[in-house]
Amino acid sequence: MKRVAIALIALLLLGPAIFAKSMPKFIAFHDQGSGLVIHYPANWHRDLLPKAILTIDSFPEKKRPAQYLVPVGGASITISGEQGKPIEDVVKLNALTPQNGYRRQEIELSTAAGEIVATEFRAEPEAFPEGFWVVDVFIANGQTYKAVLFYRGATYKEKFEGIYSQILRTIEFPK
Amino acid sequence: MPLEVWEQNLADVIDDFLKRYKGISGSTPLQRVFTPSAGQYFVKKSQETGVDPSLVLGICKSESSMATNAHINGGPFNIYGDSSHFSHVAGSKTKLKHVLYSDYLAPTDTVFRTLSGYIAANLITTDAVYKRYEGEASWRRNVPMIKEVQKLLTGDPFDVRYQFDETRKKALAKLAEKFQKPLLSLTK
Repeated sequence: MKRVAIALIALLLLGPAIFAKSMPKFIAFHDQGSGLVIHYPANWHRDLLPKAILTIDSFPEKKRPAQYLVPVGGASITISGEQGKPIEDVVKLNALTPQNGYRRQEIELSTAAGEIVATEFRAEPEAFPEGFWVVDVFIANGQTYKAVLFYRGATYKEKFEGIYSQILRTIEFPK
Repeated sequence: MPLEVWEQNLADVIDDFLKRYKGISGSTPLQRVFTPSAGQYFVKKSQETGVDPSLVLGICKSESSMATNAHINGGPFNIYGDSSHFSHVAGSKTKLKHVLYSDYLAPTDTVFRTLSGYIAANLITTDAVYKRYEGEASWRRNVPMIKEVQKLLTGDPFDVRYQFDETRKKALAKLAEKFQKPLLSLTK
């Protein structure tokens, strides 16, 4: 019993330090158009996509394979504004449907703006070997946003989903 | 899901486009291999995946001249240039590492699924999509060909998601009239 208690105390004390070590350093990106401030890993690479607020890749552009978007062991995260569209319109326009291979669930996101209910979609489409999609559509301060994580390689789930979750938790929304 | 009037018009426009198409070795086999028709098959795939059929057919033209090019990289049915099938190069003795496509349906389903993933990731312009699909080295060369097909099929190179505004519905109704089809109303 004593050993278990000691182990638990050690975990509580060391936990944040271990977490901090596994998480990369984050830097802030301030988007003038949307007013969002997004914190993302400093060693990731920014990419410019039309109609996206921020797109970041865990790998340099020269490592990108044709067709599959990211290399195995790589990830890409995109955050976009959806011009106040209702969530169901975003779902329809992006075909985030069971017929298209997406599983849907409601989740609570802890963000700088408080708890936000997001509609999350997950898929592992065969067209992308070892590919995993996580799409969150949510409304914050009256605006609709879509956040997307795409990564390849099941063994990278904890790493990339941890970083994605950290990015969503720390987004600063305009008042 | 049943087709709306404007979707049926789009299906008819696609069928007419394929019927008239003359490629490297003549007419395209695509007008014959899909049921109930190529137009209806492509529109149904668009409903399912959210990808406009004009983009898919544009890629098909740029990669294989609508399946009329006899020397397609990755086998004769790799008509959308699926790079996972490039271990076989036409005319070379390279051993196959992957199962090649054996009909036109499987690569069509795959390209719709692939591009659907792109849309989820916010790649929604033709330039952005094709740059990722083809790779940095050669995407610029083919993009004008894709946009030409998109224009003929009333697609939008600035938003490749499957959608219809009033302008597109009217344009499709006008095109459908040319095929001497019964006049289709824009309302249900």
